[in-house]
Amino acid sequence: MAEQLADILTSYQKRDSDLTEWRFDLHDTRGLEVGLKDNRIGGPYSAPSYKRSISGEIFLYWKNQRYSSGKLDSQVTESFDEYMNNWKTAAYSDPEGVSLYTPKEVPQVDLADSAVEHIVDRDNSQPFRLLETGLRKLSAAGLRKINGKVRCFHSTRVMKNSAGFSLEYRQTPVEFYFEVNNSYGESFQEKFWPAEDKIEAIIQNTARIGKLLDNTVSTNFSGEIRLLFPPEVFESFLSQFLISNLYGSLVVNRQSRFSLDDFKENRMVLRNDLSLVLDTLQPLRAFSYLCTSEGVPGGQIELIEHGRLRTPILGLKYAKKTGFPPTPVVAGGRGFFIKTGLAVPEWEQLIKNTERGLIVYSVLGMHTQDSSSGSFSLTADQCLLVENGAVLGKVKAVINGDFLKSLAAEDSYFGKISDEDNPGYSFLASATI
Amino acid sequence: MKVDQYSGIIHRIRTEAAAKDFYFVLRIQYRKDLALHINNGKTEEVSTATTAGVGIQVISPQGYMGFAASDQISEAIAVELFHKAAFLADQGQFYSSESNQEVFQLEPLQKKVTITERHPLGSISLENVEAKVKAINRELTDMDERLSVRTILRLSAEEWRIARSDGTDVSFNTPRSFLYHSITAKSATDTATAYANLPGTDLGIIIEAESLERLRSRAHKAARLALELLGAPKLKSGNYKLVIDYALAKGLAHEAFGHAAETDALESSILGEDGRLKVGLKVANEHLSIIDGPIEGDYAYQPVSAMGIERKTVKIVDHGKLSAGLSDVFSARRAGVALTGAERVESFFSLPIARMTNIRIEYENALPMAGDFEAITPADLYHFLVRHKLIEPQEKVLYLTGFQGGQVNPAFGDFVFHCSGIYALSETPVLYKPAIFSGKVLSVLDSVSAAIGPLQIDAMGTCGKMGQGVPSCGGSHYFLMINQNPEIMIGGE
Repeated sequence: MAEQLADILTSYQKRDSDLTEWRFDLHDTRGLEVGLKDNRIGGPYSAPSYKRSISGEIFLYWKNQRYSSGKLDSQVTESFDEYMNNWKTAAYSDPEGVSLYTPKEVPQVDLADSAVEHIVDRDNSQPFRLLETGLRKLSAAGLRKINGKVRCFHSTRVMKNSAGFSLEYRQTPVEFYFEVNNSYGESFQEKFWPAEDKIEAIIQNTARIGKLLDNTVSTNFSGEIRLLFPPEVFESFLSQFLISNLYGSLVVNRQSRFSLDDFKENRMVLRNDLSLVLDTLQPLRAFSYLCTSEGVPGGQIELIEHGRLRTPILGLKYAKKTGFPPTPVVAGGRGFFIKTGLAVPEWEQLIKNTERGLIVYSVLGMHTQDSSSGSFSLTADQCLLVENGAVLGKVKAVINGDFLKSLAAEDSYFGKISDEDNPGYSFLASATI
Repeated sequence: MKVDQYSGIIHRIRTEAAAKDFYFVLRIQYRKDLALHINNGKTEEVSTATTAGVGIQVISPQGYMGFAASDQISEAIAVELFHKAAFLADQGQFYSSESNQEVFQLEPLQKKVTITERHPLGSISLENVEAKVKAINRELTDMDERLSVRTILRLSAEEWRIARSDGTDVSFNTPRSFLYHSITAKSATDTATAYANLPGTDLGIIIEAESLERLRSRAHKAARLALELLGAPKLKSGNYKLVIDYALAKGLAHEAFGHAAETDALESSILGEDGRLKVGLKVANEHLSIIDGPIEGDYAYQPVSAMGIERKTVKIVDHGKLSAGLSDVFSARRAGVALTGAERVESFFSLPIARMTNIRIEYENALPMAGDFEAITPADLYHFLVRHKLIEPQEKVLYLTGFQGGQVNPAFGDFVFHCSGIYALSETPVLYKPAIFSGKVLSVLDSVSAAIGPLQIDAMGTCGKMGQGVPSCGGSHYFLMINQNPEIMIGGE
């Protein structure tokens, strides 16, 4: 379909000289989903499902800095005249808009696993087996209630533009998770089918922490406490309170915590041993891609270096407006890495060094927080209370603090956990238990 | 409607299903979207989208289920999807999946519901629409140089056709629109963001004078709040006597109660026991009721469910007692409640689950209050409460304003929602930074002691459940009073 669409657009451009340039980004996707709800596989709310779709986006460049932005679907080539009429009617003027961008070179990285394509197209049994294994082992470990889901897809992405740029590659996103007793879950999100030992590790961790959260302890506390975030929770806070403030559009339009001058002057916003790196080129990772829909190549870039702001996250328009080069963008909320120049102890050691703390496994209300303010006020509904280095049991707390200020504080610490992109994190905040 | 043209596909799937003796539910969706993004008076983007697709849910005679969907609609693809779904249903049986035969008991329905838009897309030129939204945006940015404003106008014209093996064939449309402001105030040392929105069905929200005035007053109120929040102190966390506005009351009804009353999740709900709804449980005083149901013209309107069942209006709480659940066909009987047709889907790619539509808290003997909601200041509210002896003049009472979203864990009965700002009420109210409002489902309604003003039920949002987002709406009287309760916590320092 991509070839056909490119031909139609080229032909249209010859008929209508108003259309100066075009680009599109098309995904042809097939996939399987199977769920596990209340200890039962594939019931009415989690039935085994097959999905196929053609989706994408198109961008048209007209004379006098007018642009059209539209979504693509499978009907576009059949009903092209109707679509084009809609796009042209909906063209908007943007004096600050940018012209077509063609990358000089596109990096190469492996993003497809043939095992996943085999599962989707020929052997649908693997997702069922994965769920069955998890259900059996988690039940045997004494967990009462088990939910889960497996999703695996294969997709062909085709990007083309009127300057002759053409890129096609395959990718195979896979996700699965298990959740027990409505309290704790672990997930896998990559672009390859997981090995048995990875599946086993996720099941065992889910069982271990799920059982710890089954033991409620009674306590009353209000005041300063050390919060301990496992990597997944740490990443969600980073995404909400730091990454979201780095987007060029928010920075330029004064809707970010940071101003453009902060970037130009390399303002210190984190502790000087900390850097924030965006990397979209790790093989077979969920967040990896070759280039953005605008054609900006993926890559590795330091957004914050030794605590100092280096560059906002920039598409082409805001790159032009800020004078910084365009950057790769964060995909699916992942692909960013906190690096520290200091020695980092093991996570378990960090817990042992904690006099009084809460290991926070889940928070309610993260999406309601004002990213621009940097401060948080949340219910942490699944926590383990730590006293004098020992885990006592489950508590629920309301937690308050300023996440960004904590990343500049000297008494915030990290803890290594193997196979994780980011460390666990420990910092001082306040809580009411 | 565009979905009228697919009768041939439905006929063909009936034939295929009959030959295999499998039951089917087929959903066809057609949707057209327009979105305008204005940032500080400049157009960021105008985007359009057209989506059409088909999803086929197949149930074997033993009750095993498979589902297949595609964004290509043709007879050949529908047949392919049917057989893929049937294959997956068989696979499910092989892996001892859950079976459910409730769908075989449904009565067939033939119905067509057409909502006519007064101001549909195309009724005024796009240039005119863009100019109007830019003007609305600029009015706010011109208020104060510390303000920056993102404004989004979104219109969706959506049509559905749902057919089942039993002869059911229903179609309906759900036009929707909203205008949304994200208003950020920034000083040298502080940043605060507040929001204002107005939902509707079509372009009327930026054309009709009444809508424009409502949007204007909401936006100005939010802008003033964002500015006042700069440098506002943090509140000390604790348990307080509270007044919440109707948007927060919608959040309370939705997060604290609506989700817990959805029967597909009763095995993990504080309102369920062994999978059955605890009908008769006292949850509030005898003046309070919670009602969910479709309202024509509402942002979350849906007259027929995603299973092709007429959506009923449900009194979840009737005069203080848990009375009914929001049920779908697969779980109603097991929950011990009547079928209410609460099934909704995000798109043709999704499986139906029980969801709310417009949920509202209604209170008998609510104290009358005159004037538009937006015109009532915290000081006005304080004087009203003192005058009606709802609070003592020196009493510590917090007024929470502006719903920023929420979340619930029905299994443990924990809910949270976030506000835009908190006022300590007095002759000269003091504004604090927003903090989380959290509590226990089974405690909070019981603490509602009074309601003030007429009903206002246009608090809009998007409800996320099991990875599917659908429009939601609702509200209450202008204000609800909530007594101090150790299980209701305001976050803060």
